[in-house]
Parts: sequence; C-alpha cells; structure tokens
Amino acid sequence: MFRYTKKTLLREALLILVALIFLLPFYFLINLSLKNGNDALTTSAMQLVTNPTLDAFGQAIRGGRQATLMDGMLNSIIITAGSVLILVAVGSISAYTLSRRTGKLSKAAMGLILVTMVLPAQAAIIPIYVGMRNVGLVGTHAGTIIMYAGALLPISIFLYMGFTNGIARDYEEAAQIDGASRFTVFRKIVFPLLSPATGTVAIFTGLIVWNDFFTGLIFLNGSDAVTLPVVIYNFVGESVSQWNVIFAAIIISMIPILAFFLVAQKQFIQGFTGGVKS
Amino acid sequence: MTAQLEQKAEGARVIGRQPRASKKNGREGDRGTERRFATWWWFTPALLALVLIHYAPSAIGAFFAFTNWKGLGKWQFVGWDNFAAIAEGGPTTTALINTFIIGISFVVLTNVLGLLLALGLNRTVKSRNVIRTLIFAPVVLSSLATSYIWKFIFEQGGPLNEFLGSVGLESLKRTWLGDPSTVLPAIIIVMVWQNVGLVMVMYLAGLATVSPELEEAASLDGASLWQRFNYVVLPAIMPSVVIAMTLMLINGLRVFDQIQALTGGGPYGASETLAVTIYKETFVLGRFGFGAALALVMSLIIIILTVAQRLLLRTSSKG
Amino acid sequence: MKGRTMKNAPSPAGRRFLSVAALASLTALALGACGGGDTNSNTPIAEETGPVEITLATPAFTGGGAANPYQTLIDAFKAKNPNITVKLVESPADQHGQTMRTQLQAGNAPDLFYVTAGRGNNQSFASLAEAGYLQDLTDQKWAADAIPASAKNLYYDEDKVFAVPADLAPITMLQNTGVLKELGLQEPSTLDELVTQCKTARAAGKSYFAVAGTSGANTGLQAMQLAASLVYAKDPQWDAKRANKETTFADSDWKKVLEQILKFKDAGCYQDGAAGAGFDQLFPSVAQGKVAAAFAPAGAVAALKAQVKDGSFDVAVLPGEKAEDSRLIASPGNALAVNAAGKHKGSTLKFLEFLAQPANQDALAKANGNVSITSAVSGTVPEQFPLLEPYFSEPEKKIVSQPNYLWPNSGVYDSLGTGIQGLLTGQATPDQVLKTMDEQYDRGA
Repeated sequence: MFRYTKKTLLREALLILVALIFLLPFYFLINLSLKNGNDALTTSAMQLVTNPTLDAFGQAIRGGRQATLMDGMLNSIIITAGSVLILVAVGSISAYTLSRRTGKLSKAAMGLILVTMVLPAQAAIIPIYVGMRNVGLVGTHAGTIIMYAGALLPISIFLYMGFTNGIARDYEEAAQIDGASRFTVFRKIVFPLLSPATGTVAIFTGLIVWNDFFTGLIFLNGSDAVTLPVVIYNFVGESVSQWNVIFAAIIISMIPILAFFLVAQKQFIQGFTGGVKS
Repeated sequence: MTAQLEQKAEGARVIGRQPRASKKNGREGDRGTERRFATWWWFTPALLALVLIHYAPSAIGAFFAFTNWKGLGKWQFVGWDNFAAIAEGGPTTTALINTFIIGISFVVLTNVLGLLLALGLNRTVKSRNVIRTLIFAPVVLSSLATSYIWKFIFEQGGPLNEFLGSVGLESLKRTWLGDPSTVLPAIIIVMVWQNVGLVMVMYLAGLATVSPELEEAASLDGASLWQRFNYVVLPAIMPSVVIAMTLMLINGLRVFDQIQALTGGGPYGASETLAVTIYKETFVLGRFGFGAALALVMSLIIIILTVAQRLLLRTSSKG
Repeated sequence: MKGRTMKNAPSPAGRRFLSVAALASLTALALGACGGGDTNSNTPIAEETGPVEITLATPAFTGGGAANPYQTLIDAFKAKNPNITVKLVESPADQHGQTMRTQLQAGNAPDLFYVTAGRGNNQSFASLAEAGYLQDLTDQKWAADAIPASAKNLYYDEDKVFAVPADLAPITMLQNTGVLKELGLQEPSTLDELVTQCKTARAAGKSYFAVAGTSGANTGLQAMQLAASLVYAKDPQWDAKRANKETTFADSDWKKVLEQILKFKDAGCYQDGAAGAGFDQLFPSVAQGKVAAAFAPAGAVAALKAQVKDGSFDVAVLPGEKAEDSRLIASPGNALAVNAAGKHKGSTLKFLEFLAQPANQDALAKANGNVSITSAVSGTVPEQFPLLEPYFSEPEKKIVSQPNYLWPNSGVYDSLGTGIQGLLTGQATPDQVLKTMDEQYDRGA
C-alpha cells in the first residue's frame, strides 16, 4: 500500500514544483544582490544576473552611518549567546523544581507561567523600559540579555517541563543515597538527561532573540549594543531604493542563522516539534 | 493543559539505559521521609523574572491605561475615557476588523496548507527531507528580512506585476501594497509563506505517530481516502492540531513586524491591526495611556478567541 | 535540610518564597512607575578643561553620498578648540524623533541634538522642554540673538528658550526644468494653469508630479503648500484662531485644499500607483526626468544637482488660485537643543554658540542647501533660489510660517498625511479627513 507507485511519482513532482515556486523569493534575493547598482535599477528582477559582482556586499558591509553590519552581528551574537545560556540554565533548573515539587504551589507556578503568554506585552514594555532606565541598564548588553532572558523564561520552562516530567527518579535517588547533594544530582544526572530539551530550548529561544526586531528597536536604537535586525532597519531607511545593497545586507544577516540551520537541521526541526509528540 | 503535559511526558525519550520507572503517586504523600530533589529556592530566579518582567510591568502598564500619560512628564487619571474612545470606533473598529481577518485567515491557511504539505510529504516521497528543509527555511528568517523581500516583489514595477504583464494578464496589475482591496491578502501571503513550514513540520511529526498498520487495515476494509483521513489520521494527530492552531492563532492576532515593514498600516489604515495601532499610538504619537488601553483590549480578545478555539476543537474531536 | 513536614498551607519555604515575590513586586512597581527624570537645569554650568567628547545627533543626511553638513563645522570647531571633540551620530530621518525621546528617557541621550520648532510632531522640542529634558537657554544672549523676530512664537515657550534655530528650509516644488522645457511649459502662475499643464504632461506620457502616497510627510508637505495660498493668504492668523476654537478644519478653506488634491488626481497630475509609492521613489523620478516636479524642502535641490550633473533643477512656489495669492512657506523650523542631563554642558554650549555665529550659520545653510538664519534675522534675500526671491523680498506679505509647527500634537499632521493617501485611493472624502484632523487637534497637547 505504501509502495512507490505512479501516483506517488506524480505527488512528488507536484511537491517539487510547489517547493520551487515557494522558493522564488530567495531567487530574487540572491539574484538581485549580485547585480551592480545600474543593473539593479534597469534590468528586470526575473532576469538572471549577467555580470555578477560583489559590489553590493561591499557597500552593505561598509555602509551604515552608525553601526555597521558587523557591529550589529557581533552584538547580536553576544546578546543571543548570553540570553540562551541563562535560559538554558535557569529554565532547566526551574522546570526540574516544578516537576519534583508537586503540590499546590507547583500548580500555581505552572499556571502563572502559562498565563504570561496572553499578557499585554506592548503595555508592559514601557514600564520595563522605565525600570531598566532607572537602574541604568538600557542600551547595554547586560540589560538587554536580562530582558530577553526574563521575557522568554516562561517558554523555556514550558519546553523543559515536558521532559523533566518524564524522567524517572530512580537515578536521582540512587545518587542521593550515595551522598550527592541535590545540586550535584541535578548537575550531573538530570541535566545531561535533558539534552534534547536543551537543544530545543537553545534553538527555539535563540532564534527568537536573534531575529527580534521590535524590542531591539525600542531598547537599543542609537546605542552601541544595537542588534542586527535594527541595523538592517536603519540601513534600509538610508539606502533608499538600492535593493541590491539592501538584499546583500539581508543575505549577510541571514548567513549565520542559515548556516546553523543547514548544519543542525534535524535538531532544529525536532526542536520545534519536540513538545508535540503525541 | 495538564493533559497536554502528560502526553509530553509519555513522549519524552530519556536517553540511556534505565530501569522501567514506576511512577507511583502514592510516594508523594510520604512527605516526611521522601528525599527532596529540588528546593524552592532554585525557583527564585524564575520567580523574579515572572514578577519583574511579566506581571509587574503588565500591571503597571494596565494601570496607565486609565491615565493620559504621554510617555514623558506629568499625567492625570482619566478613568474609563480611553476605553470609551476605543469603543466609539472609527479607526479602531477598522483595526479590530483587520486583526480578525488577518488572524483567522492566517490560522486557517497555515493549518490547511501545512497539513496538506505534511500529508503529501508523509511517507515514500523520495526527496522528502530536501523539500521539507526548503519549505521550512523561511521560518528561520527574520520577519523583517522576509518583509523586505516581499515588499520588493509587490512593488509597482516589481516581479509580480512584471510576470502578470508577461503572461498577458496586464489588467491584473496592481499596487499590491497600496490598494486597499489587495493589501490584506498580500500581507497574509507573506505571513503564510514564512510560517507554513513550521506548521507542516509539526504535522509531519504528528503524522509519524499514526501507525501504518491501522491505515492499511482501514483501506483493506474499503475505506476511502477521505474516510481514512477522517477516522484514522485526524484523531491521531489531534494534539498537533490543537497546538498548531493555538500557536498560529495567537501569532496571527499579534502580528506586527511584517505589517510595519510592508505597509506601516496603510493605505489609510486598510492594513492596520491592533498591534500596529498600539505601536503607533504609544511610540510614534506618544499617547501611552491610550496605547496601554488598546493593549489591554487586545489581550482580552486574544484570551477570548484562544479559549473559544480550544472549546471548538475539543467538541469537534469528541464528535 | 531534609525531613520537613508538609502541610496543606505553604511550607515555611513556600511562605518565605511568597514574601520574596511580594518584595520583588513592590520593587518592580517602584522602578517601573517612576517616570520622568528630575533634571537640575539650575546648577551652574562649569567651564571645562581637559579633553572632552560630546555628541551631536541629527537625522541622516540623504545628500546622495555627501558628508553630513555639520561635519565641516565640527572640524572648524575642533581646530579652534582642540580639547573638545564632537562626535556626529545619525539616525534614519523618520526614526530620529523617536530615538531622541527614547534616549532622553533612558538617560543616554546625546549632548546636542536636532529638534524642530513648535510642538506639532514627534521631533518638536516643546513637549521635551515641558518634561524637563532640555537645557534652558534663556540666559544665553547669543541664543536669543539667533532667533528671528518673526519666529518668536515658535521658539519662546512662556518667555523661555530651549532651542536655537539652525537653518531655514523653505517648502517648495522641486522641479526638473529640463522636463518642463521638453514639454514646452512655463512656470505655472495659478492652480488652474497647473492643472492644464498636468494634462499636457500626461499626453506626452509623463505625469507632472511624483508623490509618495505612503509617506505622510510627503503628502502633508503638499497639503501645506496648497494651504499656504488657499488658507493662509486670506487669513494668516488661522492657526491662532484654531487654537482659540474660533474655527475648525472642517469648516474652513482646508476643504479647498483637499478638493484641489482631488482635482490634481483626476487630471492625472500624479504618477501611476501614487497611492502606494514610497518616499524612496520620488527623487529618482525627478532625477531621471520621469516627472516634472515633486514636493520637497528646498534644500533637496542641492542634493539633486550634485547627483545628476547634467540635469537642470530648480525650486519654485506652488501657485495659488490667483497669482497674487501664492505664498511661500519658510519657517526656521530646524533647530538644535541641549540635553539637560548632559555631562558636558559647558562644552556643549560652547559648540552651540559657535554654530550660532552668523558666519557659521551661513556655512551650514550652504552645505545643507537651505537658507541661512542670518537672512531671516537681517531680512536679506538669499540668492541661491532665484525663483523664490520675490517672496523673500516681501516677507511679511509673501511668507507664511509652517502650519504644523503650531499644532498641539503630531496626530493632526499624521492624520492629514494618511488622509491624503485615503483621498488618493478613494477610501476617504475630504470631509472625513477634516473631521479626523479636528478630532486629533481637540485631543490637545
């Protein structure tokens, strides 16, 4: 019944066609970024580039009157890495705590975590901003990391809980009988067991932080710690109508995440669906 | 929600050799002698985050909804005035309608297309992994980047109009993002393009758990394709359906980045949703009090619709 | 640590826990609700010695690759004051206002930054001044000297001064005179003439104007130029009347302004797809001769001339119904303000004083392509815009101040701009747009 029949061939061909059409925007993206300034304006977008050049890329890297693309990338890397580290460390241990300490408090905590998903985020932004301003954290790497980590912690805990709930206590008990402290138990036994979840959390939250635009715009615009999406936004505002340069900038900003994605595909996709297995 | 968690627990694979665990809840009662594996102090950072970054700011923000704060300087308490202004309608009504249109279209389209793609790719298609990766690729891009690419495609002199002209469909040419009758579909297309891969992948995972023997048995019994789907596949992937639809509904109602980058809410508010209005009122026009009131209203709407959708799905899956 | 007994009430650990949560909540409330800085603009400003770096923030200069006009002045200042380094920082033009507000609240704003006069948009200095973010400049004589008499109402906020004018940007029609010649057209002297010229242009396959329907700033600019002749020629004090509630947008000649735009639209004056066109498409259209004109501040012509060496460009005034109704909008709206919480106010004021000197104002205006403040203060006629001379030579009669500087909030101008987009797409009628403008105006400051 599930052999490869003619129908399957048809299905496959159709799907390949769909995928190709689906990817057309990428074709425009790459094609246009390789055209020089003049060609970009005069030739049709569908037309394949005749004199490919890396001019646009050069301009994109150099350009930007304030932070350059490289600055933005560096800041994004620092902020994303920092946030993810905190999210993994705090998220795992918090989820573990909730899993092991059952009872009313635990259920209440779980409820609190879920409700955060529907809180009015846009109304909360300004008080967070004002609060951070009052302690001098706005526009700094540390402040931004704290903010992202705090904001995404509920998601991290939620994703981890799926796994922590399923770990049997036998190993932990054995270790405790052997005299290990609670924290050692967590660190040496539980955390390694959570590595699929860690992969999921790292990828999922890392992606959100890396691509975040709105909060970055409010907290970091004009500061030294400005992240990549905000740099691109400002850049587009300056490079009026120079689509080839804009697309070159976009491609540059996409390289880290796409590379990571292609290498860690399985993990990525597994990560997104990790909590969904029924 | 608890049901969901239990299912996740069963699905979680714990690596390594391990004796079959017997989870006896009876143990929990024996508090006095059970060794604790964790202490509540470990939960402190999470608690601080919840309070400092989620609940307190939301509460403060909600408070300001009853004032006329401008973001700087003095403010006065104005009671329900902001909400009255929202209820009066005008541009807010359009924003509300747009939010619904975009949100619901987004949920439906991503789930239907995602499911179709997943069904198509499920089993035996040779280039399965490649296609899956390609269609998933837009998900990892920043929404700003995708918006700019599509903005270019939709331009008056851009590839879409060019293509239409070249196949003789001149009359269909439009200013896609500047024409009030086409701007919403255009935006929805961009949103769906970026997210359908995610839904597809969620459904693929769900479909992987449907046992082939069951399907085979059903078809041997003479069940048609549709019947097989409805009675064997669909019930099995219900949890995926619930999660995918909830996630996409919330995202669809909240969308901001793409709309801001593509049209900024134009033309004349035709593509403005609540999220865009909140941004404009709060950060561009400086009316923080009013913006906070709008944000509260939006939260309320998201809660109501999410709960409604859950109830709907629950009744349909029981039927 | 082990063997605690569990009751149904929260355990001691749990109770301790809840009190931590409560404490955290209170802290958060205190931090988050504490708005507005208390600035001490009354502390005496110290003279500074030793190397100092101050920042100047302006909107990004879109002069086609040319350097920011302030750069030459910065270099000149550095030559005279080697201890003070001025760092120039730019943000995209449409983000500048918001970035400044954000940074002022965050406490990391630059020492000196661009603002606009009045209070009508989110770059206006009035609301910033009222919130205490700007340094009071009333005691600085050179600041008062730099403000032209005609602009006192724009700069004085209850007898206090918080910003200093930088230059003057007349709002005009940017023309490609080569295209006009090609079409055999002369400068239009009335609106009806202009409409006829639009039809001529259309017949030749071009549109007269390029407008950016999606850019409220651009559509608003056009509306203000129409209003200059249709509203302010007859009633120069219209804004004051509106502030006193003696009139409204809805029952004023602003209706004629919007109806004129519809007339333009029906005559094909605007390019195809104008409703969805972006700001970035305007200048290429004029530069490449696809259209005859666009609406822009006069300074843009310098950038055009620099980019297209073999073209001929000029700025002209949009005519009125009758030739004698034509008015030019030219307000000294570009200004600079000092951060009240800046750490190097002494050096900042020194730099600002330097910029306010007439010779430097002239230099800035030249680099910017705008009109120098000195001409407004002393009443001389700037020579770089020949077609504008008749207006500058009779300023009291022929020059009108920019309307949106005197409106109470930025929502009014914003609704004008988006309203015009609605007119172009057919989504709105002039009455609807005017009604919205009145609603926004009545919301006050």
